[in-house]
Amino acid sequence: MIDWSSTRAAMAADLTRHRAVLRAEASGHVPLLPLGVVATALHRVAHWLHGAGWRMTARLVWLGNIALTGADIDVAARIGPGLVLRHPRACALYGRIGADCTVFGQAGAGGYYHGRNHDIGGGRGLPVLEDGVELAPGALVLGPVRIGARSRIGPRCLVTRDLPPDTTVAAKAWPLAEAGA
Amino acid sequence: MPASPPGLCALLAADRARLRAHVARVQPRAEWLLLHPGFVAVALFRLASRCHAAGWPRTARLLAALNHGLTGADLHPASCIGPGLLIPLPEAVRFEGSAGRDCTLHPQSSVAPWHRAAPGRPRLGDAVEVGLGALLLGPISVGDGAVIGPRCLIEQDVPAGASALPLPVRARST
Repeated sequence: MIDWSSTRAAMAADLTRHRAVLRAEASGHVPLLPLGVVATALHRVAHWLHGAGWRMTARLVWLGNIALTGADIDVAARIGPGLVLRHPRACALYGRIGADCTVFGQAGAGGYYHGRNHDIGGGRGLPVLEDGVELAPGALVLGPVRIGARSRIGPRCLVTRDLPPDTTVAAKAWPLAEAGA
Repeated sequence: MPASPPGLCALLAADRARLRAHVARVQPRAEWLLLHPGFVAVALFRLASRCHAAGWPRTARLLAALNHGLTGADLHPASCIGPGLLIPLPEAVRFEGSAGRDCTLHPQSSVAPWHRAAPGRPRLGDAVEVGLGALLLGPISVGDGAVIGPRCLIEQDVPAGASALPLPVRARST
């Protein structure tokens, strides 16, 4: 189903792209092994084990990943190379995810929202994220929806419908009450 | 930052006093706070921060990674936080920026730079309370005594004493 050489290539692509993302940030500091790279590498191993028929071992690696990095990535989720988990704590990724996606903390893609559980390619009730999608902190994509390539889901947005490619979604800012109000 | 930064013991004593006051509201006879996850997270952060200031960035990052794995709080060692930091429950707390004294970070809150806005870290004043699941993103400044409500998303400056309250949900009759 999925061979070890493509798994290893995907892990190398994850590391390369994670380093590039860190270098582009304000501090520009690149740790030797960022925690997000650990999370994606453990998922790649779990996914390979799952495909090779070692399902219980794959589940154990998945549990270890949750305990160590806090990222809940489904062992059956098909994820393209170059995934960057910028902050893996409290991320949940289910469904199908394209290449070169970026996911920030507390973001998630999952399903079974409002009882819609048909399959559009990511599994029953699960979303499909095309290449280069970015999920900001707290962004959620729920249900069997397709997010077009290079779309950006803003902080704490909840997306439950299809988005065309190159869409940017932002949530409304919260109103502030002045002192004493 | 004050002119002479307080020592590690003074910082930890102030943090512990705030945690004690917090715990005492529900548990009047709590004696043992050293293994409280909130205190472990704050203490490891203070150590990491001290190592970072002393020019040992590798040790600081190691301690921060240990803190992240052990307690679930990702507190950046380059952050500058005044005495009296209270983290009641450290799960999924992220902090990278600066804060004054007596700040409170509730679980799942995130105070961090956000690269889509201008690059820069949030700055929090004294006695700011960051509610459960709140996101404070980008180069914003939050005034003294501001209260950020649960699950609020803040990407603009907050004046001193202001509060951000979550919008009520609508009930839907079925």
